[in-house]
Amino acid sequence: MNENKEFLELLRLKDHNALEAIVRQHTEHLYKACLGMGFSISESEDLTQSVWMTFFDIIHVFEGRSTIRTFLFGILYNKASELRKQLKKADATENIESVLDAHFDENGHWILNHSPVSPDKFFENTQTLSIIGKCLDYLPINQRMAFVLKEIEEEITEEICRVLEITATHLGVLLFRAKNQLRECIDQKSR
Amino acid sequence: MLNCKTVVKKISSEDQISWMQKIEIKFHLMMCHHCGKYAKQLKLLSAGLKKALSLQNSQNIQKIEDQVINKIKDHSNNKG
Repeated sequence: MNENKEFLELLRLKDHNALEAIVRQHTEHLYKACLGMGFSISESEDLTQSVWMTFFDIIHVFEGRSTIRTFLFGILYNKASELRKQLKKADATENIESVLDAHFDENGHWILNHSPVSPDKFFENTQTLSIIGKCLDYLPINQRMAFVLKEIEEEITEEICRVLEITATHLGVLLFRAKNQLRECIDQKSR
Repeated sequence: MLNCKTVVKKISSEDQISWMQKIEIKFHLMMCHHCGKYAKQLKLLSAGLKKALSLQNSQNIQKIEDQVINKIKDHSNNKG
């Protein structure tokens, strides 16, 4: 919506009504995406603000080839990666495929005390932002961004690939790793 | 017959699976308690996070919106 040339021109001129409309339309999504990626409330507020500042700084180069929403999430992805580097947190080094394999015996059956915990306790923990935030902390930013855009924002594959600048195959891999790593971590914390 | 390890890998990957395999997997999930729990956990991940995010208060979001709008207005006024 609202994404014709005239509206973009108004945004470039910082027309007050246009900028108010666009900020009110997208801020909630950006903010929740930050939280959904596991950033704290204050980090998420700062990130969201800084995405908007950059957006208005570089809007003259925005050609309207992607949607404003995709453009904003692209900026967010860069900002989130930068912040992650500043915080100097280490990504999970264990390979999720081998973590998964460790749950099964040689016949491909579950090893008894490695089987999943009951979904009730598990669900409770997924709803606690501090717990899920801790678990998200182990994931690289591209996995978190892929997970949030797909599962929370319910964005289409094509747009997610554009934001992350990856292929659909690569996106499948990122989602597989993100989901399983998260599941693994929350399962551990639910025991 | 599919074993648990194969089922878990299939349901958690984004790969396309055939119609026949879908039925096999569904059947396995009904029979196997552990894999059933695993499948349920995967589904709960996004549902839980969505619910947690929906509990965020909208006042906070409006506060951010207002701050952003004011900042950009200030910025453009100072320039112009």
